[in-house]
Amino acid sequence: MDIEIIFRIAAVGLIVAVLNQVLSRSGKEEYTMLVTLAGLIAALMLVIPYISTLFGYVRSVFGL
Amino acid sequence: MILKIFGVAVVELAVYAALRRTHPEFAVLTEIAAAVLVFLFAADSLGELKAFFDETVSAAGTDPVWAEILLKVLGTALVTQFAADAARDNGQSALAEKIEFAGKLLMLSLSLPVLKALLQLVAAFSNGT
Repeated sequence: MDIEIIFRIAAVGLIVAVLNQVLSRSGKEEYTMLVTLAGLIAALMLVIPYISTLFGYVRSVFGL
Repeated sequence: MILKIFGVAVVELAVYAALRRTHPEFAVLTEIAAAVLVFLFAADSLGELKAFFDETVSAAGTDPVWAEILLKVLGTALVTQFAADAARDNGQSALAEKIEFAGKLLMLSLSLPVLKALLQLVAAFSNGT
């Protein structure tokens, strides 16, 4: 419930950026898309628990 | 508490600017995460407001159904605003309009019983005179 989630997502983004650089330098451009997708899924997995707690809270307060 | 929210916002802006050119999709995710965090910080005080609201409603002695409908409409408006702003902020204004339209429809359908009761009241008055 803190600020480090933003840093985690930024870290995933940077790792993906570095990996893409390495892949494109070593001539394997076709894998860059896969690495980006994997990074995106990892970042989503980080965000979704926060969203579910938020919506659980809204549901309990507003009785939706 | 507001300092925490300010801190999250500033950090998120910096990270968003850094990630925007290389990987915009991660920037969007940090933006959504920051929005959720800010709301969660504010949500702590929401519980007390709800308790106070329930107290006043029961003290007023009116039928609690109206308060329930009021809260539901408020909740839908809040979540619709949340989603529409996230979409509009990233250039998806068409999607934002659709979300808002769906939200309006939901709110209207939620407040249907209130409209019905009002019409019955008006009809009762007109019969009386």
